Amino acid sequence: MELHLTVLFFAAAADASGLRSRPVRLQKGATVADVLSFVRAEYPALGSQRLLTAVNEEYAPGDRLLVEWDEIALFTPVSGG
Amino acid sequence: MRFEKIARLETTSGFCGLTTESLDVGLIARSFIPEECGATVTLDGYVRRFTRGRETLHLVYESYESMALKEMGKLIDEAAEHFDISKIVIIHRLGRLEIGETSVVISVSAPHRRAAFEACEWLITTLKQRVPIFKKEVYSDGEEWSPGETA
Repeated sequence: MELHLTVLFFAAAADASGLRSRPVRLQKGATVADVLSFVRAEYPALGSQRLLTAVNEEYAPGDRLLVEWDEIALFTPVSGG
Repeated sequence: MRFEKIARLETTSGFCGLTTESLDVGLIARSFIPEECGATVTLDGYVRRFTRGRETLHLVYESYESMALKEMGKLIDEAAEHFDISKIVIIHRLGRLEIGETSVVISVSAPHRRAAFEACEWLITTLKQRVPIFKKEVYSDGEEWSPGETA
């Protein structure tokens, strides 16, 4: 079974992918790390830059297991203030 | 500054917001004047022209707005737990900002000033590490997303 996920890109990650968001389908059991591998392969311009990850508006580590309709956000280190 | 143009999140200890409108520091600082308090410490963070020898022309801020509001709300609640303070307001500006314009205002009201100074310092330091807001520096010789101050 496949999961329907939405991936959001911000700041440098949005510039590198050329996107603000896109749907992504991954196999059930996929983690945040799997999303990162997928987008790094899809958008080589992301290079090796460090990406922070959030699931449904909360920071989430790479081993976080995803469920149907999760929204995963990718961004480079934050720089508000 | 029009308060209706601010995306706001209220918590028991204050509120936070995001807006593309210019910020009225004095007005924000006076959002709360609790009767048990005797001081409000306010940080007015604004756009610097020179950073490590490079000249900034202007800045552009963007954010993951829904998450940024939640994270700022958590900062308010955590600060209220750890410091002897009464109310906190955090407002961050988004969009294009010129040199000298206010990017962030943090106001902390407390019975006594020391706790307010300490909470304000903790809030800006932690905001810079945690809240998903991103600053693009537009220099005279190019532009780049700021690398930030990671924890």
